[in-house]
Amino acid sequence: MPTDPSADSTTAATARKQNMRLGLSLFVLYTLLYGAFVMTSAFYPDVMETRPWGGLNLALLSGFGLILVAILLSFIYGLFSRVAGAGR
Amino acid sequence: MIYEVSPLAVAIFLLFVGGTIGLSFFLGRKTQTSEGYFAAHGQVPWAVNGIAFAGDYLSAASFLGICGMIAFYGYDGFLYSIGYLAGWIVALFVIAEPMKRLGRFTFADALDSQFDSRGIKLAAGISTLAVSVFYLIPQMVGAGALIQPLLGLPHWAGVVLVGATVIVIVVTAGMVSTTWVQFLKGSMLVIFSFILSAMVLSRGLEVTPPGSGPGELQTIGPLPASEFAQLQAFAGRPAMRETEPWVDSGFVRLENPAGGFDVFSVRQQDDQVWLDQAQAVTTAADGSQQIDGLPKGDGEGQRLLRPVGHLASLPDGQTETGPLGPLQFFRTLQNSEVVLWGNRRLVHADQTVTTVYYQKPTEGSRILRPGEHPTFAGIRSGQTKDRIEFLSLMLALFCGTASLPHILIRYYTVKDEAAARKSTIVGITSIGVFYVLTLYLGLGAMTSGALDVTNSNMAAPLLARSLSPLLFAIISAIAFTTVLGTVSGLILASSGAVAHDLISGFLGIPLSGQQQVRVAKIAAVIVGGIAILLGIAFVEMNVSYLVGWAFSIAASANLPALTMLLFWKRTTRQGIIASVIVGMVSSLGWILLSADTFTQVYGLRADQAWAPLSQPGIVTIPLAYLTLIVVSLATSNNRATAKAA
Repeated sequence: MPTDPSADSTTAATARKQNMRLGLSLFVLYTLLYGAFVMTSAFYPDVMETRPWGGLNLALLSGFGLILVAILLSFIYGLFSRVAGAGR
Repeated sequence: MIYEVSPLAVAIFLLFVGGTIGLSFFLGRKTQTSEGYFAAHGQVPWAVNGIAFAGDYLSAASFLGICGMIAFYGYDGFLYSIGYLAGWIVALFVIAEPMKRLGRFTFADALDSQFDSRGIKLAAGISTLAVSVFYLIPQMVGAGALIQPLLGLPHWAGVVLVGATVIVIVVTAGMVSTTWVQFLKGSMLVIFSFILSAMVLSRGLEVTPPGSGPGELQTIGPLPASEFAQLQAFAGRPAMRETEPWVDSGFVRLENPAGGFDVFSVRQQDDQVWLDQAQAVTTAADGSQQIDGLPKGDGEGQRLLRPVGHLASLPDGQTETGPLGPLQFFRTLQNSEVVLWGNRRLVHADQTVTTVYYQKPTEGSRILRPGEHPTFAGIRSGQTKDRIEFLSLMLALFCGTASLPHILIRYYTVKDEAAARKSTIVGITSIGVFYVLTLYLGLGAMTSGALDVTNSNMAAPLLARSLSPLLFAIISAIAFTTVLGTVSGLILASSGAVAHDLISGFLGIPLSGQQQVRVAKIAAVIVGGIAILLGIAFVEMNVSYLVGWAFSIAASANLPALTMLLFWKRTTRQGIIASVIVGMVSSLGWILLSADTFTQVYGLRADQAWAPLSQPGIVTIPLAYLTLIVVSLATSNNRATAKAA
């Protein structure tokens, strides 16, 4: 653990930058998935009625999928993000 | 009878209220300072804060509104669940850690962290108040909707009871008591929603033939279509001689030997006609109501609405399924026929209004796809405008969560950025699990035979009632606590905006920590009073629908300023102020001039509305971003460039 305050501050800044990069990457990934879901519902609603897997329609699969992916990505972020600073 | 006062529910509810108020007084001794009152000293453990996020966020709109919308229209209500949860991705990946780093007590603190500007404090303070008040309305409406079955009191009594309890919670211990109330509520909501969903699956699905089930709704037919117009009696019962507005209304009224009438909707298939029993609610100018021609009530010569919600058929001619697995439940429903309920308004010459609620047998595959609710039906109309309306709402839900002041201030209650991140992950997980369960709860209610056709907000508690009286008591009490938790957060955010941002920050009146807390408590009482009045005024609106408005205002006013401050180095003080004001005024003004507000609030026609869409987000969110960019570029020479966070 660094004892030098300036080293501590540099480490925190680096960690913040890395977290932001990881967070933004995951944000873009999820936004694309959410955008695809919304655009398909809006412009191709009939596609949502097709049943690609397990006898369930795409509306159910993609809706549940988006919720589960959100939980999964949040865990990935929690796992790979770095501790940034001890607070204010 | 749909509603019956349950002493057990009253006891559990009073226990909840007594417990939360007692807890608040106990914790109140620790919150004399502004750090304690507004931010719980930043000492809330991250796991507790995460569940409190769920308690703060899962409002009456989520529990009552979404379940009600699913119960009445199917998958469309679930679209709100998907949009609300997606918003948390913005909160976690973009906002959480910088918010903790930049702010102290209020949303304005974060926006103003690099400028020390009175203008930002004023704009952000007003925006916080506007969003919070809009968000408060549906919560209070939800409280009123719950009070009738629980205590047998009128709507306004529920609103006053919740308002008064919340004021006590906030005034006694601020964020400390609010956090623990939200923690308890969040935990219980998720746990009992899980139990309720498991019971729905365990009960399975069954067909209710005409004349049976709790509502005992009759179906007459088939009758030959060619002779139908000449018939004067049906199943041995004389038809009433029709006058306006019943003539050619699509309904047939038969005399009821017990008084009043029974009303039926006409359903034609090929050359055969069926009459399906409907229900008519007539409201006179003085507010008195009749059900199927008799005064509303459970006494002699009176009538009550029948509970509804049933399946017309199951796959392969089954009459009941027995317990179902989580995916099997959807597969079965997808291949069944469910009876949904529509309504039509008939206006009499004396301005008395009769609303006829009629059966709409609907294929299960239609219920489990988007586009059945009037708000979303446009996506199947082929009209570009309707599709843009849909996109606009989904955009507002996505951007709104991370812009809600009462959610953002919860980042100040933990000790550091890592704790802010961890608590958001706990929040997303618990909220996500709850939203998955909303589909089981809503569809379970849809087929429970317990629904009130006039009140979609009561679907979840009435589902519980169809399963077990004890569960009904607990769920009703939790629903009340749901309102308490969210309203506490909203009133706390509002009181902080008044005391910290407007009086101390903008007006520059120097206040010590204790004085600031005192002013915040007075503001909490005033905002609570306003919330009570609005909750009474907006009694008939679906709570989930109203929350959509709050999200649009929050997303337009707050998110552009917050994200640009974090990611664009050239953002200026003037740019932030202009963005917040333009976002707030444009979205609020748009909503007030929209077709939905014209029809549902002003009682005018939709074609008289000025705004082209009902959902403003798709225009007002980019407009706020654009305003910030233009104003920042125009004023970049007059100030020091802000450092990106």
